[in-house]
Amino acid sequence: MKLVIDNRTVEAPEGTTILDAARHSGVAIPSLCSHPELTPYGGCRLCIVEVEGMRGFPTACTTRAEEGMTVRTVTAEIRQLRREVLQLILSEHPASCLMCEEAEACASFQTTIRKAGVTTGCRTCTNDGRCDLQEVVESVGLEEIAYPIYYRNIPVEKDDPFYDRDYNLCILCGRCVRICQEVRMNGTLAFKQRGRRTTIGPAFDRSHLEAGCEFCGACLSVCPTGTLGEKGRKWAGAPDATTASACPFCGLACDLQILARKDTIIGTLPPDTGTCSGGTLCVKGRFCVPEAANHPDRLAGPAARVEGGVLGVPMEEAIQRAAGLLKGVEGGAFAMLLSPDLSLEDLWVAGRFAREVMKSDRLASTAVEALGPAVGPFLEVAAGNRLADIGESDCIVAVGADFSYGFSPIALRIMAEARSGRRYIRVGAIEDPTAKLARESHPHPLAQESAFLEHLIASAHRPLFVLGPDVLFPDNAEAVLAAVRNFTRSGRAKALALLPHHNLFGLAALLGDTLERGASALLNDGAIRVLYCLENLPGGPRPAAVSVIHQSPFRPPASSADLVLPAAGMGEAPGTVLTLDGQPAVVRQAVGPRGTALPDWKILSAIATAMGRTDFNYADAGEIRREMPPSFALKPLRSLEGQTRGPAAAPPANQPFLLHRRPPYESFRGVALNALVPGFADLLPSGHIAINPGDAARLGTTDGDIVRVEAGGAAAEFPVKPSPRLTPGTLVLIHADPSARFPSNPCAVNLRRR
Amino acid sequence: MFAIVESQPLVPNLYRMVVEAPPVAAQVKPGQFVIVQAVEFGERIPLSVADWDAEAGTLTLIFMEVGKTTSALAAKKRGDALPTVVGPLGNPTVIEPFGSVVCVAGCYGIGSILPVARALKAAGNRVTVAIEGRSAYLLYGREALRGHCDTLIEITRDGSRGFKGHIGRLPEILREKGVTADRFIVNGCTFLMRRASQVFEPAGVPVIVSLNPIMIDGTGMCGVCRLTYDGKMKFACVDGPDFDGRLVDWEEFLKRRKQYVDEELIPVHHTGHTRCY
Repeated sequence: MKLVIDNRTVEAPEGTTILDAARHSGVAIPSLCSHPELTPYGGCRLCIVEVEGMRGFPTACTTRAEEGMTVRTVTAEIRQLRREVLQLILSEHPASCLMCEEAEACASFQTTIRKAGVTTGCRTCTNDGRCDLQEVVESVGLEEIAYPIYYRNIPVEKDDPFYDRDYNLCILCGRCVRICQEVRMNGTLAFKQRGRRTTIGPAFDRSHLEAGCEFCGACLSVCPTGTLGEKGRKWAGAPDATTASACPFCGLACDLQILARKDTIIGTLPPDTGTCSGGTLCVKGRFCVPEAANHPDRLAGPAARVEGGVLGVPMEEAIQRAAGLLKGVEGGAFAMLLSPDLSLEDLWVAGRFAREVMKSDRLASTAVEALGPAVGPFLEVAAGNRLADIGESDCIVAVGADFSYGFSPIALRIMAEARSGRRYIRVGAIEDPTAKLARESHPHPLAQESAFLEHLIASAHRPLFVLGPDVLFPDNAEAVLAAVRNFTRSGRAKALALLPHHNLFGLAALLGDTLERGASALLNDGAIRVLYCLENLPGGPRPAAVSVIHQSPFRPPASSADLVLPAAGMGEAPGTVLTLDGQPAVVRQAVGPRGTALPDWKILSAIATAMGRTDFNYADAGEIRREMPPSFALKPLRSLEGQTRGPAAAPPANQPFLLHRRPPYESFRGVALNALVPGFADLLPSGHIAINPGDAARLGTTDGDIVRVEAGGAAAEFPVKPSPRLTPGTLVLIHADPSARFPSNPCAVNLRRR
Repeated sequence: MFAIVESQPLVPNLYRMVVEAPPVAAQVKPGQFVIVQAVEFGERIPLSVADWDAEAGTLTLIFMEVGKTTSALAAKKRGDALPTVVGPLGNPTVIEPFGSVVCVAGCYGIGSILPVARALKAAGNRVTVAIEGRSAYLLYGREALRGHCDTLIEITRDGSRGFKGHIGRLPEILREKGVTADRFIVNGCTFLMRRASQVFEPAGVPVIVSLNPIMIDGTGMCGVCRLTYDGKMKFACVDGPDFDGRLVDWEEFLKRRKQYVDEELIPVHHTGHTRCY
């Protein structure tokens, strides 16, 4: 198809808009509401053009290009109209900095004034210098606003986690509403009120948390103004470096861009698609990276316990001290705890260190132990993971998958399939954003698991089970997983298991056959001379070992380590991990390590060298990679085979709630994410009873009230956290503490307000 | 503890707080300041005193929300209390019969210029007050000021009230109004004070600015607020806060003011919430 734009004949594919045709041929038309990922809206009216034979000034974003069309994008009249439109927009947007005669001097001058609570101009705006509106004003050219200035004086919304909202800056382009509805299929955001009172937010004045917001940040990514401000980097300024890397928070290892400024990670964005891309990330990848990376508990240097206290020591001395502690320790007297977030390179060197230098195969992981005895069959199912299966199946059954705050790319694919008519069934306790597209929703099966799952896929030819981490924790987890495994072994169904840790596959592949049963057994073993905690030192009492070495980006729990070695944190060292479908993903280095921290493999190599080894002299991570086998086969987790648990009990009638318990498996390098990132603790707090808001109201409780949970003889008290994600009668408790014991999981309980 | 009697937002980012501090209220003079803490063990910050009532024993503070401590202050309600209000600190603004004085104020300076203008007027001066802001909705206190000056000039960046422009326009406006100055007194952000010192230089009369460096104790002990003035080292707390802006080493002053910008971001960015202090 050919048309003429500004006297130039251009080619455009059938069905494109004038705006797209113009942009593809290099003609810039100003626009604020259009976005390549979103349906055209025609809201800002800046892209008006003249089309021969058409009356008035159609908007280029909503008008289809047609064969032989003659379009003019710049005429004196269009320029004038655009200036008028822009003035109308700016008369309700604090824009005085855009036309200030001192703007240049002021920008070069900027001091602390930038951290203003409310944005009243570009110089105090979090979006200054990366703002679409500023660019459009520049391109249209505007010296003054002839219309009366109207400041809406709407209170800034600061009460939700992760981002603040100042709708005094909003130009109502609707990009956030559309991306929330069209791309995220969530629908938290809508236009509210009308006329000059129009704002954006959830209906009925609910908070974002109450309205089911996933905090994926897609709205922020597409906002052309500073209306939405990321709390974690509001005042950090524009990034000076962007690195394509992978998200460190789960087995998906999503592509993301790490934004840095002055060698510090200040934020992340979804992968660059050439425009400000929308929302493929979940809350963890979108918002939690900088807060975890720059946490106040980050270690900047080594420390050693000496008589009378803890002493900061130089790295060389710390290495010597470590070698000293380890000298003469061999075999069972040495044990090592490992994090499933470590890279393949770190794990490889750690494995060599334990086996070759220390002659020990006492390796364990508290994070893996916390996943329970079903992790073995879970990983076996996961070995057959193929992401492409989602698109190739005719019936998707999600079991124990909570897509609210994780695994977003999988959820988006499933929802896209469900929207196009694919059968989607959910089994689980939580009402996540995919629930509205599910044909059926079932509670977790408590008996006859195999028959139940068989029934769900009875009419399907190519069924796919999507197993979330929550499948691991009910008492009958093994039975459910055995049923799924039977389906996959017989070819009746496929399965996709969602791994909760960054490199769980890598850990299982490299060290699966030596992971010792029960990490807690190592913690309590007083015969161990040195316990080496490689990014895996849980809180609680000090381990029983004679000496404890703690190596991590984060400070150890109080007084539990004798030697502290600072490891490079997120984005501070390159590495490789095995993702959900067993493919290696490269994690790139975005900034230098904090202080004197080093990559884990480098510290271990230095200690081995100090102990007299000559075969730990790797120059870089690539050299380790070349030493490793070219591909990995999953090894069974020796530790976790052969354990069984009793069948789940059916709920008695006088205990109307069903309590589901799970550990805080969202973690980074051995630390729970809700302990590192306060905003994440708002979403999934540990030690709270998450309850349906209606149930909470019936009990007369609100957020933070203490309730007594009774089951048979057991009882415990917890604060409540009302959450729209829970169906009536369902409770969820995230708890790392095994003392929160109930007779079964799930467990029928009664709730009473204290 | 110092009880908060009133607390309300004035315009976006600016808050007015009335706090009980009888010993300070009994002695304070125009141009002096107090050091406050929003929370015990929190940061100490200097705030100009915008007004006082010696009889009721109260001080009025007008401050801008620009970081952790000021947003904690902004979140305070009537009935809350401040752990620390130390003052009056610094030297009072010199009030004499100068003749014609032009007071220039922006942001929180509009608050602290009121007692200065009032005292100047009472001393028999012809007082012109110019207040400036980005837009009409950011200007406040004009009614109160009008009672204590002969001429009130308003300047906004977007022309939504009074004259359109910035401080650079003021000499021209004064010429149009036939105002000549024997002294300028400028209260406001560092940018305003520095630009005013440049803009009014040709008039050949003192341009008194009320400096706002980082300060800890406010009594000359810590030295954090030091600056170079007329080639000599001065402490803003005990030698100021008023100085002749024409003699201030502004480059150095600014550098010192920006010294902790990265550290200042830590509490703002790593609490996860801005609401919890």
